[in-house]
Parts: sequence; C-alpha cells; structure tokens
Amino acid sequence: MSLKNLSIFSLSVLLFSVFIVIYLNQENSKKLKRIGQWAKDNQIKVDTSTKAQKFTIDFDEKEWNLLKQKLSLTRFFTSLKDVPSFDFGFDPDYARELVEYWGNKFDWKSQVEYLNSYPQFRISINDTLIHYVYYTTNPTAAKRINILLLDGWPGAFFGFYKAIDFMEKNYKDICFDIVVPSIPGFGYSNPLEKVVDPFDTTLIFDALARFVFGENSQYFVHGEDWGSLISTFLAKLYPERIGGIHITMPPLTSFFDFNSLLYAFAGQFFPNSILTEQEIKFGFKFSLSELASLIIKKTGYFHIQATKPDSIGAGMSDSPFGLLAYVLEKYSFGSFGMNVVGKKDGGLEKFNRDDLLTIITYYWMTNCISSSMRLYRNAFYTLEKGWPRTVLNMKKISAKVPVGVQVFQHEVSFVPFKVLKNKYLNLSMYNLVENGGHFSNFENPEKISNNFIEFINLAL
Amino acid sequence: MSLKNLSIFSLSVLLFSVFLVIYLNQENSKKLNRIEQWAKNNQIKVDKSTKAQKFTIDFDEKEWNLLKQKLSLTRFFTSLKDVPSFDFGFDPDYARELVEYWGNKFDWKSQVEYLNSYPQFRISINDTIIHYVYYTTNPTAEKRINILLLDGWPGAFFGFYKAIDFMEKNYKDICFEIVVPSIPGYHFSTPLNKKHNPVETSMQFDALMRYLFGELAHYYIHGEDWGSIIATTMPQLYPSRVSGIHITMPITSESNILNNICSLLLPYVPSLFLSDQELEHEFSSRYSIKSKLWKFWDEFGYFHLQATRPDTVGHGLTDSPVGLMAYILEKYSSWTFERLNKISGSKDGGLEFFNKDDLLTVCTLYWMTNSITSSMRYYANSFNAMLEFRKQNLDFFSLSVSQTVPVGVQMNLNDIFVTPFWFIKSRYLGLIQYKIVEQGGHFAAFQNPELTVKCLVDFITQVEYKI
Repeated sequence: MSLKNLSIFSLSVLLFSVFIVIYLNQENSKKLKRIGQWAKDNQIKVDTSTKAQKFTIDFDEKEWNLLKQKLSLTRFFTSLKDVPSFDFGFDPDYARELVEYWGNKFDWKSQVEYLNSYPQFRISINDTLIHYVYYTTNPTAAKRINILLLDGWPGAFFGFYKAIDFMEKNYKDICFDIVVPSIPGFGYSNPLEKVVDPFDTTLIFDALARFVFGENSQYFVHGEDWGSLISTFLAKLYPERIGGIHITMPPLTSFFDFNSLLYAFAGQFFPNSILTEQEIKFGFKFSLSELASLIIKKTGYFHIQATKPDSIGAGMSDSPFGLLAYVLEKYSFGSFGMNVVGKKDGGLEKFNRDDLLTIITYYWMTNCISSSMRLYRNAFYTLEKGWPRTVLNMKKISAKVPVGVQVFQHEVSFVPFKVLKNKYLNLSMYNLVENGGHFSNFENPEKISNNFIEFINLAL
Repeated sequence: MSLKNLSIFSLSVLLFSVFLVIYLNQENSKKLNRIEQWAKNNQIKVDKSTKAQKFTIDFDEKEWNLLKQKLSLTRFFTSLKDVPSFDFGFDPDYARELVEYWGNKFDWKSQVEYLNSYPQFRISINDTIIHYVYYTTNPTAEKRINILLLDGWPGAFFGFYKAIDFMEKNYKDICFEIVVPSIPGYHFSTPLNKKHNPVETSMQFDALMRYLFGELAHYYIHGEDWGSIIATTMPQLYPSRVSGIHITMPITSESNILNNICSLLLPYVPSLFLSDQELEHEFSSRYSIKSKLWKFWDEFGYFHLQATRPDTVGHGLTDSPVGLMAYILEKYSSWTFERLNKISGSKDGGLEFFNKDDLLTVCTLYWMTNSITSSMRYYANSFNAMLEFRKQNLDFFSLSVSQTVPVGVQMNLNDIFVTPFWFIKSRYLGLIQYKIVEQGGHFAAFQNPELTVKCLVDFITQVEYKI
C-alpha cells in the first residue's frame, strides 16, 4: 500500500474510533437520563398513610427447644482420610464439634437480648414486609448525616452493630441517622411469597430512606456483597439524592463488558500493565484464567442458588447441621480464602463462636434460608423483563455520585482500579486493606467505619 | 487471486486437513496403546484369597424409627405464589405431601424384601468394598452372555430389577450372567473413606468380572449416567475383554478440535451432520453450543456444587430426609420430563408417573446407607483425577474408543442432552447401533425397563451373530 493510502486509512480508523467512543458515551448519557426519568416516574410513593411498627425479637422457647431436639438427633458422616480438611467443603468433624456446642452451651436467650439492643421496626412497602434497624448516634451533634448500611448473603443486619457502636463512640461530633434494612426474604423481612429481585429491593430501600429521612433528603450508602450491587443501582437511579456510595465488593457484572474482557486478556499476559503496584503487592490477579478459576472453583453455591434454590432449600430449612455447614463454609473461605484448606477449623476459631452461631440461629429462627437463597434465582428470573433491569449492563455511573471502594485482601472477587475508573466516573477513594475478608462488617467494623466516614467527609 | 494460485491454495488446505486427521488418529492410537499398557501393568490381582460374602439387607428397625422421627419433625418453607411450581427447584408443597406419605404410609420392610429378591454379595477389591447383585437368568440356555449393568447418580442398583426380570422372561434362549455392582461410595459399597475415581472403578469392576468369570472372561456392559463413563473407560483399558458397550449417555470429548468446529457449523448446515430423524427431533438446536450452554447453566448447579464442595451440601442431605428427597427426586423430575414441559406449573413435577414407593425406596436406600455425601464426592474426585491423569499423559476422558469395540447407543429424547450419531461416531469408532427413544428419559432402565432391554439385547445379538 502506498504511504498516501496508508495515511488516509489510519486517519479514517482513528476518526472512526473517536466517533465510536463519543457515540458510546452519548448513548450512555442518554441511557442514564432515561433511567433517571424512569426512576422518578416509578418512584414508590411514601405518604402519611405509610406506617412503621416497632419490632422486638422474641425469644421463642418452643422453636429453641425444637432446634435443640433436632440437634440432638443429628446424623453425621465421616471425613475422607486422604484429603486435607476443608478441601471438599465444610469439614464434618468440625461441624460435629460446633453442633455439640450449639446444642449444649450456646445461650440463644442472651443473644436475643443483644439483637434487641438497637431499635427495630417493620414496614410494608409495595406489599413487601421490610425489617430495619433505625438508630441515631449522638443526637445533639451539629453535623447530621443520613446513612444506609446494606449487607448481603449470608450476612445479617446485626453484623453492623459493632460498627454502629464504634461510630457513636468515636465520632461524637457527628449525628448519624442510621438505617439497616434486611433484604426482602432475609431474616425478619419475611414472609415473602413473591419474586423480589435486587432491582426491586433498590426501589424499596430508597422508599424506606425517604420515609425515614424525608422526601428530598440526601443519604450515603455503605454496601457489602449484594449491598454493593444495590448501592450501585441506587447511584444510577437517584444520583441527586445519593450523597455517595461506599462499597467493598464492586460488582463483577463489570466483567461482562468488552472493556473488562480486554483488561482480563491483557492481565493474562501482561499482569503488571493492568494492576497498580499496591494491587500487585496484595497478590490480586485479574486475568482470563483467574476469572475462569473463580467461576469454576468458587461459585458452585451461586450456580445452584441461581437455578434451583428450592431443591437445596429443603435440607437447609430442616437440618440445623446442614444450615450451619452451608453458611459457615462461606465465613471460612470468604474470610480467609483458599488458605483454609488443611485447617481443622477452616480458620473459624479466629471468630467468636457465639457470634457465628448467632448468625446461624438467626437464619434458623426466621426460617429464611430458602427465601434468602431465592434472591439469586430472582436476579436472573426477572432479567427477561429487560429494561430497566438491563441497567446492569450499563457501564458508567454518573459523575455526580462519588464512589468509594474499600477492598479487603481475601475478598471473594476482585476488579482492578483501572477497570473501576471506567465505570465509576467519580471514584474518589480506592483503598486496599490487609488481613480482612468478605464479611467486613463482621470482621472489621472499625476499619469500615473509619473508611466510610472518611469517604463521606471527602464527598461533602 | 489467479486460478492457479487458488488451486494450489485449496490443494494445500486439503492436504493439510488430511495430514491433520491422520496425525490426530495416530496420536490417538498411540495414546490408547499407552493406556492399554498402563492397564496391564496396573491390573488388580484376583486370586484364591479374594472372597465374596453373601449379603442380605437388614430391615434396621432402629434406623427406620429414627427416620420416621425426623420426618415427623420436618420443618418446611413456603412456595412462591407468583411463579409456576418447580421453576425454582423441587416444589415445597409437593415435598410436604411426599414426606407425609413417606413417614406414614411407605412400607420400608416390604421394600427391603423386594430389594433382597435378587442374590447379593460384598467383596473387598483393592481395599475397597464393592456390593453387587449377581444373578443368572435361564441357567440351562446354551448361549451364555456375561453382562455388567451400571448406573450412576442418583440411581440405585435395584433400578435394574425390572429389566432383569424382563430379560429372564423374554429371552429364554439366552443365559445372562448379570452383575450389578454399586460404585464405591454408593449404597452398600460403603464405607468409603478415601478418594475414588471412575478409572479406579473401571479397574475394580473388571477385577470383579475376572473374579466371577475367570481371567479370560469376556463381557458386555450396559451403562447409564456414570455407568456410561465407566463403560467408555473399560474398553480403553481392556479392549480385548469388553465384547461391547451399550450406553445412554455418550460423552463426545469437547477437547476434540474437529468436533468443536463441526459443532459450530451445525446450526448453519444441519443436514450435513444430521439424519432426517435427528432433524425431525430438533437435534440441530438442542446440540448447538448456545443450547448446550444454557442447559448446562439451568441444570448443572448441582454438578458444579458437588464437583467442588460436596461436603458442604452433604451435611444437610445426611441429616434431613426431606432435604435428601427434594435434592434427589428433583433429578427424577427434570431429567425425565423437562423437555415435555411437564414440569413447570405441574403440582408434582411429573413424578406421579413413577411409582411412589419406587422413588422413596431410592431415597430410603441413600438414607439408610448414609451414602449421599460419599456418592457426591465422586464428582469432585473425578475432576481432580482427570487433571492428574492428563498430567501423566493418560487422557482417558478425551480419547476415543477403539474401532474393535462394538458400541450401541440408546438416545433418550427426554434426557438432559442429546448427541447426534455423527458426533458419537467420531469418538466411539465402533458405533454399530443407534436408537432414538422418544419417550425415554435419563433413568432409562428404571423408567422403561422393557424398551431398554430390547435395545440392549438387539445390540448384543447384532454383535454376537456378526462374528
């Protein structure tokens, strides 16, 4: 090809690429406007007729005795002698130990008192029962900040209690108005007999925030696990009202776009090109093989919950031993990564045993394990309804909303800073934290509180 | 491009393809030879010291009462009102109905008598306990055929009882020497406290056949589910001993490049690869890559979980009868009826088609032997083993089956996946029989004993009288 032809060709390719980028950005802005309009039009009405009921958790003696009876009838099985502990999942010998403690030493009555230490309410929004904690720290402080604390699966609302306590004691000059809702189908946000997916939950949580904080009040959101996804949706739908979102697990849906795939491809052969120095130091990887490994090795539970939750729900609803192993396996691998293989306790002795059993007993007493697992299926089930749920695919969040990301070293999935920058246009904070895992509120209440508040101050 | 250049280019592509096919075949043959040699070197010794014990199943009253007690304490959950039943897995309302029947009407004692109606044995091979049924039909008939009947997960050995009965009554001129072993870790092939994979199972089942029929014995294999995989591995190991294999679940190795390319082309030129009958039955859409991926997503959550963390899900299934039942019977539903749309919205997921006592006998068998977790571990073990074998250059799971071994396939249309003849033939080189069964599902002999036996015996007859 002659030099002249080559220059014209290159120039036209360049112009075309520039055109594509501008076009896609315009499309993105148009879509954001559309979604903003849709969000306004479909906002759930909250008016004077909407009422919340005070709620206290009962110590249900009958249910507690049934639980103990079932525990005493537990049928066990033996571990494999020639594989390391936890290699095939939760170790049955350790489960046995925990079951014996649970049935004989664990004091559920005291735990119920602890769970009731913060004021709780229930409200019906869109015919969906929502349980939430509502607490105001340092009510006389001059600075007022509204916050929503969102957890995921298999978390629990009281996982945030230590964080709330820390915020109250260490930030005496701020009055935090704190709302901790439970996702429909989780815990006391039950019974739930219809399909409610994360998107529906987003609309409901925003309505709750408007009910508690006021129709036009601004609020900040901290989200973990599903909470990270819901936070991202909130920022897309209500950018004017969301002061900022602080998340620990940026959604991997950002993987399913061409941009992220390119990064994963680059990360396969030139890992240093797509990761920051700190990310490399932490041992994070983002490559095609890493993603494949994640999908194959770690997401069996996700796969079955997203397709046939009721088939597995039957056993977990009926067997405390089954529920314990299934849920605590997440607290093991999720907190410490694959390092738990070979450890007799899967690393769980690091946590307070009563704290762990309180989470399990809470899932047991509310009989919510099945409805909580259905959230995964719901998320896929409603996708066929198309827009606006396909907002999942939208790459960017408006630059109006600041985003803070705090990722702990053993977090389950990882998205590099360079990819996040493309998605969260106003990424104001990005911190990596050593020695922590997926259940941040449970394991590191102080670190997430400090980081969250720093993020808020930066945004204000 | 000039005509001359084009011809040279096309010719070179053609030559290259021919070269590639010949090269791959040679590689395949070399690898098969390696495996055959490995099999000879690692053959399990069967000698006078090996002894089988007669085995009878006990009606364990204490365990049965514990089961009933647990059933009476079952804690249920509610179904979703705005989705069709069985769309989210096993319907909790139907589970409740079955649990009530199981605890109050199901007669386990009678079922145990039924299970004991064929003679059973247990033997220790390579420090592994193997339980098996061994029955001889029409002992005075002249024609003797040794046959292994293999099933998989979540099956049970008695699933073949009706088939055995049909074989005896309808083929009076053949003496079938029938062996129905349970895979180690399944039912009475327990306890199993170490790793175990399909290659080891194949070796042990072959040792069992040599124990029963002598070192030079020949035998046929009928295999469903894991049984198909074992039936595919055994002729790779012992091509001279396996007379023929009859399978319902052929595995066409996805690592075969040519197969993959053809799979991609299939939706565009279906008539190039499919017979009229296959076209009629929508094989082109069902075997397309997109369709297979969707099916894998929809139906293989259990597989994904069991292949990675079997012990995690094992706790609930070991301790809760309804948990075990819902998890297992959902497969009898979705692997038998899914394609007929009999599931979504149906109260029973199609399960009323089966005899309720038969289904609960399967569940009670897993329960009484406390073998659900060890049965699920087979999946995790198999994948780990596959990677290990590949490292040693023993690619069992992707190599073809030699032309010298006759293969018969029973393609059940209501099974999860279907595979067209052309693709099966590319791996099972000795494919001589291929029958499409319209009303058939995954649990072939359990659901359709007579039809399955007819397919099987037709195949055996074809092989026997060709020689």
